[in-house]
Amino acid sequence: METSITHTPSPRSELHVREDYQARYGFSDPEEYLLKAPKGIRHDVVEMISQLKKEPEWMRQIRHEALDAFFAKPMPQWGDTELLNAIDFDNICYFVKSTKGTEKSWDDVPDKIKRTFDRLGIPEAEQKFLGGVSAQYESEVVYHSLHDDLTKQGIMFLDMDSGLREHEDIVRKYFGTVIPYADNKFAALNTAAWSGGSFIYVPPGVNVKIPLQAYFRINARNMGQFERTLIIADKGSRVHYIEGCTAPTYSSDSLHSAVVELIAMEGAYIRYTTIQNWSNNVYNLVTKRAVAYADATVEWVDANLGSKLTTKFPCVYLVGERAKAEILSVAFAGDGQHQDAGAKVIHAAPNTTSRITSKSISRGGGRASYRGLVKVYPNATNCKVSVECDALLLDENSRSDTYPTMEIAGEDVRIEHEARVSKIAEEQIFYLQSRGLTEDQARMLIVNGFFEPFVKELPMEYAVEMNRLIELEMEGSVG
Amino acid sequence: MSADQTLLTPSRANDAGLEKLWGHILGSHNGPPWLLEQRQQALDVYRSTPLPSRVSHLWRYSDPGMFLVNDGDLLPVAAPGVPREVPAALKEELDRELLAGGAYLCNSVVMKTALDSKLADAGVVIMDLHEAVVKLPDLVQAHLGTLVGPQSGKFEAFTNAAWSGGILIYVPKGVVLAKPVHILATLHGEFADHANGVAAIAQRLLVIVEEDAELTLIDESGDGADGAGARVYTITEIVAGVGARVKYVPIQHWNHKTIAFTTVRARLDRDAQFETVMTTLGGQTSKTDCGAVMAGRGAESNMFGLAIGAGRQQYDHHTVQDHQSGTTRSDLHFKVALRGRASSAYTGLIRIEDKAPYCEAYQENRNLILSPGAKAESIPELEILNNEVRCTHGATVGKVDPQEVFYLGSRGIEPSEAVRLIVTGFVGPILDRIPDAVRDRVHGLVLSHLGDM
Repeated sequence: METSITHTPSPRSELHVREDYQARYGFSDPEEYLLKAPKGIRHDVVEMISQLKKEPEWMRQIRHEALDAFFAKPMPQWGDTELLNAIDFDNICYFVKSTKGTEKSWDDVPDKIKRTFDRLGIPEAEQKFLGGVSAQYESEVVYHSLHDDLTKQGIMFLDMDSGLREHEDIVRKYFGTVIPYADNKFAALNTAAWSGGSFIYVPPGVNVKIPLQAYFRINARNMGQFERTLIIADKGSRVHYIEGCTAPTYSSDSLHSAVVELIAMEGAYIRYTTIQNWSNNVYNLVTKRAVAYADATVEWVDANLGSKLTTKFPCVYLVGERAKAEILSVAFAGDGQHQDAGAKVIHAAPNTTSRITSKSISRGGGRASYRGLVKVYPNATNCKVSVECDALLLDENSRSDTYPTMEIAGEDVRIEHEARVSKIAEEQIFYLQSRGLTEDQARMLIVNGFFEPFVKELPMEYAVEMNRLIELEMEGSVG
Repeated sequence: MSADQTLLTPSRANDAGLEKLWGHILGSHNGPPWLLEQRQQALDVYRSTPLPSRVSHLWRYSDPGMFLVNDGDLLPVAAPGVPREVPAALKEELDRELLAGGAYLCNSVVMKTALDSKLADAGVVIMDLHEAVVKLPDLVQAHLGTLVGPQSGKFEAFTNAAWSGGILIYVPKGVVLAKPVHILATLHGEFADHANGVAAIAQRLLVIVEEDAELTLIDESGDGADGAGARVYTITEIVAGVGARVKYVPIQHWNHKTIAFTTVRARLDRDAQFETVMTTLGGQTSKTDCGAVMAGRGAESNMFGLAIGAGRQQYDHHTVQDHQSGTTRSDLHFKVALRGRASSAYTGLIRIEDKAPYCEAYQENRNLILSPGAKAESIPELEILNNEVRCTHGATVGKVDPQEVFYLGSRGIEPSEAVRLIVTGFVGPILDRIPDAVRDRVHGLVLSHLGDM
């Protein structure tokens, strides 16, 4: 029952969800930094980040070009424009450096940061022999380790800064190829200000048997975190990557705008699991995209529990024959939250298949949206697509939206989409109560059952954590 | 983006074109002051409203510039040689007494109306809208533009300003029409080839069905012999009173040169029942927005639609199921079959307001793609602001199952005939809902539109 990233659970009957978030994740350390950039994003800030990291010239140039693109691009005209337009880009700090560099051993990490991660359970994760752990604190990765046997197999698992330093040729070849900076305003911002994130390369035919993990945390107030992740699974290899994220609860807003690029070469398999539990003042505007070559499989397993506004649509481009995409998206929107999540699949090759499953729960005035796109190009014959969206509304103040888009060219396709919105049926509650459960327990059981297809895809320790988080979110949902 | 920017406000040239149109309307129809004011306000809205943004789902698949009224566009209501005779099919239905009443319009101008004399005595009205604004000003003024007004959108504003013809149908309290009313609108003239612009024809239909009254209305556009290719703007407003039952059957088969912009809204009072059976076969580009607003408890809307596209036809259908009141129900089945290089976009919105509990809403969109060049888009949208609901939607896109063709082949049926059978079976449940008076003819239209598979 002891899990990798939880603490000993407190008796839940005494808890209220936000209080508990405070106790478990809401702690903040006094802000002490080696270096903190001035607020606002400008060319000199970008220059400073690049100089500090002693980056090659090409990366410095990309950052500046991306910043110009960020300035030039208008804010999105769709989605929750009201919340998006409330972002004050000038009141955000775009770079904070908290330690001198990446430590190789846990013992070398400064005590204060170690305490933070202790409370988040990072060392336990390592003790459980999870593949490698990397933890990002503010802008930079502070601790990182990789089991020796993985290193011997040629697997590279580094923070993105070290990745650029040590494997510049690979990074240069793939960086920004899946998500160019001109893709959207937030991808441009990330490319200009990126710091940290994970770099993973799995050589041909290598099967990474244990999941690789990263943990992201924002500590400073008005902080922007722009991690950049690049995962390359070479021909026939397999890898599972897990990320988690939290932030302390400040009254002013923070911005998390990551860019994640996955490349699955012929026959490769990548699964990318996210459990996003930012505090309710974080804007989580993320661009995640994968390219799957022939016979490759990409799976996004994506849970969104926290944040003020999440806009995240994990995407897979199926560019090789028989490539496969599976996207499992779960959202829980509580008071003051808008989970604008979804999925995108582009079928650009014949015989490709995709399956999207979305589950959302709205309660306490929260709003959960599914926004998706399935596009089939004319040459992509014999494609199969299935999209399923389920939404539960737990009270009358909450809102659920479904905006699936299907653009289909070509006759040789089979597309199915289904969506349902409902509340928990009174009969089900009544039945469970007749079996001796309280109303609270009955609701919990039904919600757990609703999320079951998602939770069963998680490794054990994450499944337990996920169930705990759902339980906490459900606190006080009765009455 | 820049192309859109330049189109944001109508250019001077457009305004000059509009002035010409505007003068024409004022010159042709001297309406009462309230109507002139309504038209003027609508024209102001049209001019000040920017072109719709392509970002919104409603305009993602159609270029709004296509519907702009341009310099040189003309309003050909008085085109010489407009046939005054009622087209044969409608005449036959009237002669065989299959209908309760009917009307024939050409280039938006009402050429003839007909109504069973007993129903006329009972107070039923089928009247040229120009005549109605003079003879029944209170009734018309109370409803005209309330469901689709200038604020509904730029082109709806244009239609409100420039409508040159239309029909009022009024069914008083408790009157039940056992037979359908059939309205036929046609085009005449070779406007599409006009050197300076095309014809912009705006027409509207106002339907008022009072408490416990019942009406079936066939609203046919095109008679298969239209000489013209024009831009046709149509507004249909349907007001259904408490417990009223309205069946609305639009059948659109304009020729393949016509560009059609159609907006239909029905407002359902308490316990009103509304059924739509939509058939779209014609037009080069046809953009239709059809919606029901459930404004009273117990109201119910059932929409059925079929669209068959061929050649390079472009369809853009939008449906709205707007649950503004609690304990209301809606259902929708929309089927699309496409061959050649035809394309179809379907966007459908179900919205359940926060103050509207105990609603049920369903929506189903099925697309059958019959050739490699055809294209189908589907965006079924749900916006649910209340938890006491049951709401589902489904959408599919697929081709004819080769196994079905193989099976029919094993029974001695040629593959092309097999595909025709399968497509007819696909749209059959919707065709079955078309009133007897026109069903066989519409069935024939569907078959001929499917052509040789």
